[in-house]
Amino acid sequence: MTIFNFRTARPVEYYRKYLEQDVRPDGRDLGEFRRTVLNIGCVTTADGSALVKLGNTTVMCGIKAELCKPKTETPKCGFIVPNVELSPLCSPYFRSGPPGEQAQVMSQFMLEVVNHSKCVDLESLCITQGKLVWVLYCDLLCLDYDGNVTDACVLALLAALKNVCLPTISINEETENPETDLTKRVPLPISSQPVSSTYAIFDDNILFVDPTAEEENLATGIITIVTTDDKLCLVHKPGGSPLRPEQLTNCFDRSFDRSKEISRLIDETIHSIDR
Amino acid sequence: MPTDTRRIGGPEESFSPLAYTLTDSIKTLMVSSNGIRNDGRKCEDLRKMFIKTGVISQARGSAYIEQGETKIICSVYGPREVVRKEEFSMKGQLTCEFKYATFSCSYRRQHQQDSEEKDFSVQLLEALEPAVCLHKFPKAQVNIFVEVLQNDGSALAASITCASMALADAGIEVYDLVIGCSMKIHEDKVLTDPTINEEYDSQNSKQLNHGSLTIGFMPSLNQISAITSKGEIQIDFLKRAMTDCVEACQKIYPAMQQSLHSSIKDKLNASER
Repeated sequence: MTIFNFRTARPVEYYRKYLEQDVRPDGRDLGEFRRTVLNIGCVTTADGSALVKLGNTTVMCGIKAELCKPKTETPKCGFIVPNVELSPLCSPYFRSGPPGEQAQVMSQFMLEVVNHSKCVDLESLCITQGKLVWVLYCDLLCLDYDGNVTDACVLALLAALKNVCLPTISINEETENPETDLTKRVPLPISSQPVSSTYAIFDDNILFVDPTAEEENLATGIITIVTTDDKLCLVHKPGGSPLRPEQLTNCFDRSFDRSKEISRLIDETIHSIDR
Repeated sequence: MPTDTRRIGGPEESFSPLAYTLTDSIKTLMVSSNGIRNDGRKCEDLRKMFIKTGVISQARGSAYIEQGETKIICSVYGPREVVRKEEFSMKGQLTCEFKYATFSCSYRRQHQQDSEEKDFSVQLLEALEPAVCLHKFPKAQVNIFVEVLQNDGSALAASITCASMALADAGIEVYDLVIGCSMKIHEDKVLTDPTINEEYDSQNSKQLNHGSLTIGFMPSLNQISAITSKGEIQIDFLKRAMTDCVEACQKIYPAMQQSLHSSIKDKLNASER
């Protein structure tokens, strides 16, 4: 039996053989992310955009800003509306039509990340209190589904938000209509940096970071940790294998390292665009 | 408006800030008297183009195309079994889905496919079908998905080119590649590969000749697989535009061949290793 047949016929055994040596079939260590590539401001029709590649996994985020009336209970707050699209384009397992369960869960997760990390102060989206606020439609489009789309989505959203430049709006006092000045654009202030890292649990005890689609299918559990700078923001472990506390602590440490890596990557990318 | 419960909802109503811009877009001349367009091109010039195949790892075949600022990605899956209970056919089936990303145009687009996107899906399908050897995959179907990431004009033409490259990358047997190209006819000028500002707009045109033309051209068979024209065009002009279109397609053809050639080379190198 050749190695390729073995991989297809007995994938779990195949992985076990590698993991015994603390390495994965693609040559990565257990704590190693795939190569992360970031491109900011790639779609000029959007008010903010970013493309993230995590190995093969590709996610594009485009943000469109529109004007609307705020809710009565929160007259000073704008809106951020993140939606994840897992289109049939990115994987043979998705069908066209309305978003499936996985896409809905991911959209909700992105909303929670935005709300809990407070990366954008919703009051900074206010134009006139009780009358006019910004709504940021953040659409996350998966272009290639090769596992760990969550981490790619969080990074794409953060990078795209950092890229947002809103046109200035003034209110005409006579007509009370808003007037847009597209030439004067202001960047959106970002107050914190949520960074997510996802771990797959294999055989109930081995943890490795940034699973590919193949590894996600073999995993007995998935855990996602979102950090904001040096604080924990969100831990998401929807069931799966139980973990020991020290395993979880290891994950937290790795997540904080990742947070530093990502903020360096974003800074470098923004610098390279400015020049 | 029906609410979409499967997506995160925003406010009930929102408006694009573009609706309140102060300066009305000043009508500039589309072509200056010496035949130079707004972006510095001559009438018959194409925009800079970039094509790459094999961009989506999960797909059987895929392609990405950039034509100026127009950016399109396309993936091909199959041949796979027919999912819905469609009519039985001994011939293979081809399906196309054309979609603009919500952020791809100056105004935000909706998630659901609108009528323009459905229309383009059908046009794309009809442009590609004559080139595909459907009898090679009986009782199965090949699905083509096209996503426009940024629209700066000639989106349909670019997607025809892109989809045909993706089909070739997927190894689906075809008689020929299909090259898309569009033209804008403005007064007595024929503009190749129009940008979004140059594209056909029936409301703002009062000239005798105003319209647009899109063709799908099969270069080695020297046949046209699809042709659509919009607007009011004199027959002489339509003929001229068509010859210009074919000429422009022949300019694109080497770029496509080169891209396919290098992708096959890469694949061979990868399998040797």
